[in-house]
Amino acid sequence: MNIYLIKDYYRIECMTGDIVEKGYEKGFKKFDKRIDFTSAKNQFISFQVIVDSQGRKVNKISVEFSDLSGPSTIPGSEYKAYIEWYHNINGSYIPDMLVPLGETELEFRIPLSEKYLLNQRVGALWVDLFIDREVEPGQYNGTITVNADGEEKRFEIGVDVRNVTVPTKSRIIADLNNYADSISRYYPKVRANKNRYNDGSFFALESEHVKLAREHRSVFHNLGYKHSGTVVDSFAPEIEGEGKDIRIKSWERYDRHFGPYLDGSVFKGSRRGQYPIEFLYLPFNMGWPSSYEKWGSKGYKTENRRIISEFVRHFEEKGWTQTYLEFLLNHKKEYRFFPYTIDEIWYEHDEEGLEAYYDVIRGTFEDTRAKFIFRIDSSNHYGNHFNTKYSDWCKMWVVGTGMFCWFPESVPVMKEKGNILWIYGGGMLGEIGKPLHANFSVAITCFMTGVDGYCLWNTTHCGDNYLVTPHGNGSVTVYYPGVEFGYDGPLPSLRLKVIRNSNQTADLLKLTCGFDDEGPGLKRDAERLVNMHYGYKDMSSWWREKPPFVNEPPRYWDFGPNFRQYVVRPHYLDKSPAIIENLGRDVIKLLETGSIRDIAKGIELAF
Amino acid sequence: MSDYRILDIDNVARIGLMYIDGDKLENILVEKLGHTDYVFENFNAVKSSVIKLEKINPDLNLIAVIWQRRIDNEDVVFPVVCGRALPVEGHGRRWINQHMREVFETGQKRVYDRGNGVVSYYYPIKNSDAEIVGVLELISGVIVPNDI
Repeated sequence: MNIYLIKDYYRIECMTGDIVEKGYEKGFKKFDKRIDFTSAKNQFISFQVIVDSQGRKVNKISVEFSDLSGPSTIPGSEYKAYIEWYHNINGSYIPDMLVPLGETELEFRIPLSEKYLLNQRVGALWVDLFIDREVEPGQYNGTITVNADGEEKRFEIGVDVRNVTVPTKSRIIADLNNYADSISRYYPKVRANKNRYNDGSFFALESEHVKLAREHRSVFHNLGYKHSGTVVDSFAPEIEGEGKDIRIKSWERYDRHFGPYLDGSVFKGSRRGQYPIEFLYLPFNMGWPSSYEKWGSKGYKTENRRIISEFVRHFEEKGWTQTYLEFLLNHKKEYRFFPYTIDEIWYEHDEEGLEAYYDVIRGTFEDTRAKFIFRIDSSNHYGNHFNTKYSDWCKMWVVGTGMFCWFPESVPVMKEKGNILWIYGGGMLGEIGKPLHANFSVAITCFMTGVDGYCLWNTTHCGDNYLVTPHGNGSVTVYYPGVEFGYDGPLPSLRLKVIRNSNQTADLLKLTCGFDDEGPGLKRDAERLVNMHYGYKDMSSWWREKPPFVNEPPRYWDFGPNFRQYVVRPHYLDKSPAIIENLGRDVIKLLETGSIRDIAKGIELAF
Repeated sequence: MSDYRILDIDNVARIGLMYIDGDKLENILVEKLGHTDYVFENFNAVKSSVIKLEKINPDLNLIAVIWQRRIDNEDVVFPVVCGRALPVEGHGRRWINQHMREVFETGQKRVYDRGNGVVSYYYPIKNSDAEIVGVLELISGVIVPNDI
């Protein structure tokens, strides 16, 4: 039996005991006796307990965490351990779903499943340790004891807590985007309950997703209408009447659904605080509240404006003024319900639909404390739109990385206009086998390019065979249902942990903003530090030159294999996953010392 | 007041088809051979009629879809305007089924019993030259509308 610890940026394949991140071995370390960390306050640190049974069956594995002693005490209760579940990804068994140890029917043993993982050799625990903001800075030491069928191994753990605090509220939003109702199908009890949108059972399940996201420095985002424009039950208040008589009949169910998110009460007990959810989709679209049958008529405008004004008044009265409330048109003409593609405008004349809709809603929501915001998702025409009236109307932009990287000049324009700017991309999360510093690099890209967040798409979509091979090899999966282990709620993925840990570093980096034009130049130092770790000479590596076809209409672009030369090369390539730890540690040092000089001398490059 | 609720599917189709403008339907696409893109005015007029048609007798709970043939391959059809839901086959192009083919070729109504209580009724849509420019499908018996 070989029991050892590893950090949070490598994974072990359970049938062979090899590391998953093949080709990225530099920086991999096993810790046999002692493991050490540098941490800010209000930060999670993570590591993994690896039990290599070397072919034996192991019936019971337990782990004990002592308090950590130092200038104050970090109680052992601040640890939380998860059993790593393995998925068959192209023949390799890679961990992703995390099952809380001792909270479900799954026991930590080898093999975890006699049927599916009969030849399992390695079992692993993912361990989080939270360093509270009240912990006194200094060196802390404790022990971890692992017992596998009576064979015991003890490790020392050291945490150097620095006098730097991770901001409680996210500076960079990790957006977990979803489409209602993409949850119920995975939960047989909820799915079978036809009254789930009324009796609270769906709300309870959805809120577990919302809370899990908050704990992982992310935002659960659930678009409440279909491509037809039909609003999913409970994602809009009940309306009655039409034309000048249209009105909200009842807010009761809508408020029961979203009120706890909007007043923050759903987050009671969260380590991240009981503040309202950061973003929420509104139900408004071209088919609600007015039927598209009326599009272009005065009645269409009347109905939309009357209902929007009721929303404004209701949100003001409730005091729900801290959440961004998004008008998003997700329409695509290829689905045959609407003639416009507003979600990523493709044909230039689709701007007509955007303009017509804005004409309907303009002037209804701007003069209120509630944060109503017109959002647009843009890629192909971003270059044509970012510095036009559209960026005056749409105050939130979610932009495809493929085209965003051609327009660094768009960022100051957006910032000057006070707009929220996120990025997204098809492979932003990637298959489970993708090295973990790929996810880390997304958060770092946000800091380096000046954007406010990134959007991961369809994150509850794991497919029916998720225990073995999640949909698309897990290319979008962030949540897993716990039902197979007797747990009626969502479980985190290992990659959600990496997202959280990455965002801690990115949020620390964001603390340097504001010091770039005057004063100590801390942001420039932070950018230099990141560039040094990535082996980049300057900021240009985070962008690409505009391609020769940039002024052609996107429908004439060649999106074939040649297109790749015009997008930024993934930043994780050729780097060690250890960049997660090395850069994270140096960012803490930078914030503590206020200077890059001393750090640059001893920098540990991870490539 | 509630007499309209006794209208059967054929009568709903007869009334609805009077208001679907075949000339606009004929010219609903910007390019008949390119990606799907619409002449907005024509789409909006046809879509408005389709939504109204679905509501003629709400008790029937009908889903209305208009199909057209590809001009480069008459064996391929696609839903060009959907009412409140997608057709059973989804939003993409597909091989024409025998029932729809017969409507395009004979101008006569056809009925396709899909089983489990779901039935498709197909009717021809004509332009002002009395040419068939599309097929109206009315789907009844759907419990969970096909949407994405």
